[in-house]
Amino acid sequence: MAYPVSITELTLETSPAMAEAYAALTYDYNPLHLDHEFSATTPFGSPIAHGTMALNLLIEAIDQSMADSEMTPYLDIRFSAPVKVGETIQTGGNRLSPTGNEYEIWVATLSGTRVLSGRLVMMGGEGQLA
Amino acid sequence: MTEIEMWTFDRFSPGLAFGEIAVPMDGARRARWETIFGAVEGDGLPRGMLVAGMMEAYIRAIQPRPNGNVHAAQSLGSLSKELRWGDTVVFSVSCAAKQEKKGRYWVDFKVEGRCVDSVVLDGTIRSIWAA
Repeated sequence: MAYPVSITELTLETSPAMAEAYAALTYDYNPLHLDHEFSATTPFGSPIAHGTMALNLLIEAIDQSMADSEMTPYLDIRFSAPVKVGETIQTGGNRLSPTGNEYEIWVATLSGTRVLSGRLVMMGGEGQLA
Repeated sequence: MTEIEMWTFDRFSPGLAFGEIAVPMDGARRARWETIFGAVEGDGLPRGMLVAGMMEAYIRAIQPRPNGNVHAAQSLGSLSKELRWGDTVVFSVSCAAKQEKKGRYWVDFKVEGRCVDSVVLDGTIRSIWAA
């Protein structure tokens, strides 16, 4: 298939209710995400969204970008900055070469801070990231 | 009553297995997913539900745990798009590596998800463990 030049931009507005819902979905009730008093004692200062909420928004965007692809995505990412609960995040990504299957991918706040960044390779069969 | 020992950094060792957790991709989980990411058309399971299941297994398999662990990085492969709502994925969780660096406790956890005989997720969670 022809790979798209960029990854679909999807937006998600986080909220305390959404953090609660994601905690219930994943059983991840880490007070960093839910408890104002606890998170105030950490370097974050206030609750931060679950990292994989942003990652899952990105996977949704990748699947929308390549809905007809039979390739399998391989991702290698790091959570580069916290998302304060209440912030809005947006996905993005660019193909690294005109004929390649590799992308720079990210999720950023609307002010441009990248909260997740890394690499995506679309592969067939049993591939692995180098 | 016996108190269960907290999982702290010193107890982890590469190769240590935490067992298997079966996660049914049921209606309750679908409702929670759709609350956040919107309605899903058809019966195909979003790939992200495999990531949510991976996190559920990682959280449930390693208990009790200290508050304040940080998910720092993630690699993901073999993410299947062939699963349907109603399938059950069995995740196995193990410690892949650990390192103390600049006073922080870095731990890599390997999580593999299987549905019947197929690998449907192969991931590594890199955490900064809190204690």
